[in-house]
Amino acid sequence: MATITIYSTEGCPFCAKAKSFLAERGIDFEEIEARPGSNAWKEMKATTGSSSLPQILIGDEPVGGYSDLVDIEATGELNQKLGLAQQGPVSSLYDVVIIGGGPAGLSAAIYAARKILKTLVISKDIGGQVAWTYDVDNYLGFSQVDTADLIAKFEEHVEKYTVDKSIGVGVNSIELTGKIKRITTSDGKSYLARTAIIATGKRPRPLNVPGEKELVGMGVTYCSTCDAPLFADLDVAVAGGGNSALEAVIDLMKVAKNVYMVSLTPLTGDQILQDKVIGSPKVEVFTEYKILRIVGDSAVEGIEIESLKTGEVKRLDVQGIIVEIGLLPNSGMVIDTLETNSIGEIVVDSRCRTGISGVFACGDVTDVPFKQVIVAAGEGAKAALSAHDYIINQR
Amino acid sequence: MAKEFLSQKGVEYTVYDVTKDKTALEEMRKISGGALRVPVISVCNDVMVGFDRDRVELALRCLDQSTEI
Repeated sequence: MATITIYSTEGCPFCAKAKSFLAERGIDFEEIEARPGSNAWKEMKATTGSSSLPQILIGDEPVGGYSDLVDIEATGELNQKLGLAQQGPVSSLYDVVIIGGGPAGLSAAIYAARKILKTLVISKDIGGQVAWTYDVDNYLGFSQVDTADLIAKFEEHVEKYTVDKSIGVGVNSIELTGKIKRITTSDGKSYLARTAIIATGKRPRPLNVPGEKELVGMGVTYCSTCDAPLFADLDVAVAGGGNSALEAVIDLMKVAKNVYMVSLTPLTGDQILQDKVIGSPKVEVFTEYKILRIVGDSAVEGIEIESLKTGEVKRLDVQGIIVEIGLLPNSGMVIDTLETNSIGEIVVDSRCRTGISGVFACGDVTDVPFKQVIVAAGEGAKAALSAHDYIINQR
Repeated sequence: MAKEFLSQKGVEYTVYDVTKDKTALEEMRKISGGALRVPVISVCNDVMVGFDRDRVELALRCLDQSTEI
């Protein structure tokens, strides 16, 4: 078996990555300390033609740095060079891995599959945020459609093509900087791809108050359209003062006993919605009040609120609270790698490129304005076509 | 997703639409200790709030030992 030599130095993150990459695979290597300017470093420069660290040699042949090592492993070349049995990594190399199964991700999957790209979709669910609404009235071709039916149609459309899917799993880590992208999922699997499309959407912003996390599902919810009917005949609070909060109150007015609306600011939603809410005898509005805590042992029993003006603390006896205080982009796993704007959305150009080659993003997780199903679907198509262009240009 | 999963597993199940059936809604709140979230899945007296594939899979093992659902 050919031997591997690594020129490395202390405090070089990619040297450490290359070493643990080989160690994880049980591949022995010889390490040469090559501090810049040292004799070993000069020797490395002469042999490999490169002065950056690490440099990896298989036998006498220079293969490059860490990302080159990942690339040749993905294509099966590493095992070939080492004279090891082929474990078939070539077949598991995807052209595109799409993270997210909302309109952006699914549209990307269709466009990628139609370009005969080997495609994988990884997602916690199918439908994404659309699933939080009852119906959609503004998607081209559908003047009114039940959300569940629309999502089923999206799914059916994807089913027509050869697209691998891993649904119901999260992504634990993602390495985007190399030529081959590596994605590790919550079920312990690892996927390799030439390109990645991030279509992870948004999630509700939490209140971050005591009792909230503990009582999710036991009276605390972030989706009024999903859960409002479950609050029939109960007293319920709604946190927030914008359109989503007002819509939650309106949903609840039909079913709940009493509704308390608690907003940190004066109401900011549309006047027409405010009028509906303020006119209802079931609703009491607390503006410029802060929620201090959610009370309850195994289920919500009440909330404590504090007036920002007077400091007075009140307790409201409620069995549920719907939190509608905005959304956060699901960009946490790429926030160190990709450029994001002040609210954490991934910055993309008009071709859905992120600034890292082979990495694209689309839908609500990006800084593209107007978070709409039709916009997300269009952006998904663009991301897949850009990924296709990128792959063609790499060949 | 939960329904698809159960169908794939070949498990027979009964669906209660708690948005339309108030008795079922009250029953759901009672057996789950006050859950206000769907789905609530009950397998052999094991009540799960939300759909967690691994937990449901584990709970389904009881069906191998008994025929009672």
